[in-house]
Amino acid sequence: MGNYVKTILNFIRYHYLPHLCGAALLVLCAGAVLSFRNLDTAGAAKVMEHYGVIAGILLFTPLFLPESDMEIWQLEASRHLPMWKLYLGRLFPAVCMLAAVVSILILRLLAGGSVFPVLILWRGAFCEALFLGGIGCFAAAVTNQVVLGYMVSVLYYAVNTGMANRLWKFGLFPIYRGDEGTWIWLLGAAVFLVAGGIWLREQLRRAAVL
Amino acid sequence: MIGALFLKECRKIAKSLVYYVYLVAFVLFITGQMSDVEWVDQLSEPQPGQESYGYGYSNDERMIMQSGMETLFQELLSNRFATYPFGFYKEVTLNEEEQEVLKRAMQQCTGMEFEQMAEENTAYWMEIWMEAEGSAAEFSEAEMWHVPLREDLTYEEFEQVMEKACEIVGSRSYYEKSSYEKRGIAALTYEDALEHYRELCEDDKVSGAQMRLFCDYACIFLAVLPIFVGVSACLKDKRAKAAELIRSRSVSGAALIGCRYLANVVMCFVPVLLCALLMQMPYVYAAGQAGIEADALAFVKYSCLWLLPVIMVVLGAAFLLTEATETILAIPVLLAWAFGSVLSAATLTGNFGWKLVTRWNTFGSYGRYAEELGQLYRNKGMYMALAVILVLLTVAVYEKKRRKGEMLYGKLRKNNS
Amino acid sequence: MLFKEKEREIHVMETQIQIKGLCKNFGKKQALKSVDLTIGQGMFGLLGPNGAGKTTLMRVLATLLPKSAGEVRVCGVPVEQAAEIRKMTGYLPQDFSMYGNMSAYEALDYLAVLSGIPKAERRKKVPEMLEKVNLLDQKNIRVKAMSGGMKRRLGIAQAIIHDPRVIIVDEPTAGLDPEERVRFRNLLCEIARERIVLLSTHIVGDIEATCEEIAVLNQGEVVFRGTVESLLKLVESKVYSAEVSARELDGLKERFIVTGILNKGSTATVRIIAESMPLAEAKSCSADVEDAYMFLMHSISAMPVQKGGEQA
Repeated sequence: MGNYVKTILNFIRYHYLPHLCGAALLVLCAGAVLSFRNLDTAGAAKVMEHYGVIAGILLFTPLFLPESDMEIWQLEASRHLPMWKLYLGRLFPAVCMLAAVVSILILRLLAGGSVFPVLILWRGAFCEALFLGGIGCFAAAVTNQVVLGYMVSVLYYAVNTGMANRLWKFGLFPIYRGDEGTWIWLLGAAVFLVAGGIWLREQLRRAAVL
Repeated sequence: MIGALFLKECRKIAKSLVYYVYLVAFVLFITGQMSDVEWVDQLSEPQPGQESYGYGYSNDERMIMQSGMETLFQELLSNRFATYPFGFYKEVTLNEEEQEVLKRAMQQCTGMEFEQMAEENTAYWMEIWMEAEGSAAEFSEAEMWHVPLREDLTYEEFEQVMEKACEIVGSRSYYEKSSYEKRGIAALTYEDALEHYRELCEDDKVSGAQMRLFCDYACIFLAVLPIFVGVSACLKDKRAKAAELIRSRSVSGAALIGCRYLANVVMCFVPVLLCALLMQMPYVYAAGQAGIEADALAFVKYSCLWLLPVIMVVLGAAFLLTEATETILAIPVLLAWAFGSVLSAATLTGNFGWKLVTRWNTFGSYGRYAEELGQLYRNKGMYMALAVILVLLTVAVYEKKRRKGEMLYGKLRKNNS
Repeated sequence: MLFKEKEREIHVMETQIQIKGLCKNFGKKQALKSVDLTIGQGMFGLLGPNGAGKTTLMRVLATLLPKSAGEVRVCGVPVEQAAEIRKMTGYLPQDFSMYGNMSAYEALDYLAVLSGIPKAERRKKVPEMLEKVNLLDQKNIRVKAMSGGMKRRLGIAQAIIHDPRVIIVDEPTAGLDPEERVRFRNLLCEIARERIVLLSTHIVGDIEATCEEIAVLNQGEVVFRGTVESLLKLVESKVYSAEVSARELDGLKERFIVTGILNKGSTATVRIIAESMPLAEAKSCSADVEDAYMFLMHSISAMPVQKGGEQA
């Protein structure tokens, strides 16, 4: 257990800290660009789904950052600790931070006198951010390029600003659009993308494609 | 030597996955947006006695009051007020007390209860909706809102209401004098429509109007997409662990960074130019069919004026931030800039100011465009100059790293620890 | 006569690296402490343990690091004139690497462009260099698919393609198999005929096989400077070999410098450096550079360091 904690702490210290700070900055800057006052469900959903979910991109895309150096990757792969466990360990701080970001934004909405179904919005925004982050995570995993991870997730977000309703259950901003039931699909897709990304990435490395 | 290096850099970009994502994303986005443009009807001359000739901006006080009240009514109805406090779009919602103050102010101007107006408008829109059966074209033809103004309403009274609204909603909202004065909307007359048609044929030569619309959409994408291309290009040396080796060669920092930058600009711009050319073709053809002489070179003129400076400055900033930090910091910073610029557009047509993303989301309106052209030149000229400064700074950072043998960010960290 | 002498002096100046009082600090850590060296044409070996400052010295010479103090001239040009220096030096870093998706030919051609070689010359020189390092047949192989040896050979090709007068190679044989290493050394010797080749390594065998002149660095200071013969002289008639029982080994290691142990069941043949006959059954044997190096490093750690020039 101690080893897991150590690897996670090392990852945070040498690679992940700027991204955690970025997510914190996202929360701090929210007041300047968003209003939290007197919002109804759609208004609150807009804050969470249009703005809060960006934390997902910031937090989940760089999870494979250390291994963009192939030598580090080879070295880690030669160790006793399986790679998938190493990656799962890194998910822990990302998920915690995301939960914190979503919770703080929800609390600010409540403090501003907004009225909305708290649990539904928390769950929806969290799953949506996880899904959006999962897209970045997957793209970064299979190409071993963090820049591509960001690019693909940002593009997916951009596509959704115009045609979210055409993306079936995987469209973003569902609560804003009045569809509360897609969170389970988004959560499932996020798990699939992260797990699939990790699996595919290791296969590609072994096949010396990456 | 410079030419050879430039070509080699182009080749390097052409081999990168990020560039292919850039190409696919740009082509898909721009074709998706441009395919919705309805323009064929606009190539036929307006005839007297038509039911409607569309809408345009007006300086008439009555029109300004009408538009101002309609906006207030609409925002009050949805209780969503658009403001731009830091240049970014921020939606403000009012509590009941604040809403009540504004509703009463509206009642003074219209002589009608707010709730009654809301009911009438809802009924009107339901009717339109049923008739149009969801057709966007017919929908947009409909009158916007029915907000009857008192016959004896003076401009001073109106200004007081706007001032009150501005006080409640917050600064940088529609209700600031500088904002509502410019946005009086009025239905066009036959003469206006004829003038617009003349502008389209003679000044814009059809393709000019289309290219402005193309640039409007493309500008949004090009404020975002080249960020990734630039960051990826700058991090390539570090990724390949070839940075030290390359720094030891005799090539000057200016030549290396200059060629890399230029290659990125060209590789990002050429597909844009090709898309513009391809998209302009049907317009040139249709104009020819309608007996109008189109400007075949509009795609070059508008792309170079409108889009090239955006690509240049975005790449310049991506280069500088990436060279200076050797991280992906440029991505969140420039994305915030780009999205902020898009969201800060209070109007989708004109009002260029110093925004990175300049909008012209309409087909035609050359007259207004000509009025704002000076500001557009200043805007684009400033960004071009800024791009050059950013590249020069990048060269300075690169040379500094070359001399110091370490990156600036690494040095900072070392000093802090 | 006088004119000819002057010309000769200039010529000597121009094929020399002169280092006077060179210091390099990283924060509070002194990586190079007042290094004085003059390096002439031919192969020059820089020997020393890990962290001795070899790479730092080489990076200063390759203009990749600024010096903190002192004077460095490469062929008469002060190292501050980085652009001039880069034109006349070829550098092979410790971990040579290039863009993984480029072929050997493309990578070499790209680096040749960065060295300002015109197109016509590149067309001639790139295949010529690939031929020289035995990579012409594999010119289309991608850098990321290359073995360590192939990468090193590509590395040396890029370091000499612009015909530099000084070549700086940092630990070039690390990670190479014995055959590759020999081939690589021979290649360097061939190149060194008309140039200065500064070779850093901690593999003593490389120096022994290739270098006339050497310097030994330890903790940022030059602890030896001279020819291989003069280094060998340090251990002349001080190297012995003896057959001892395995139990005696620990005691021997404590008393003497043991540079080799060959186990043979319960006994072992050991190679010992000692001032006088260490054991009655020991036999004197000829010294090699490794013995001399070990003796030198051992005597430095045992006594205060005397810097500069030959070891006293």
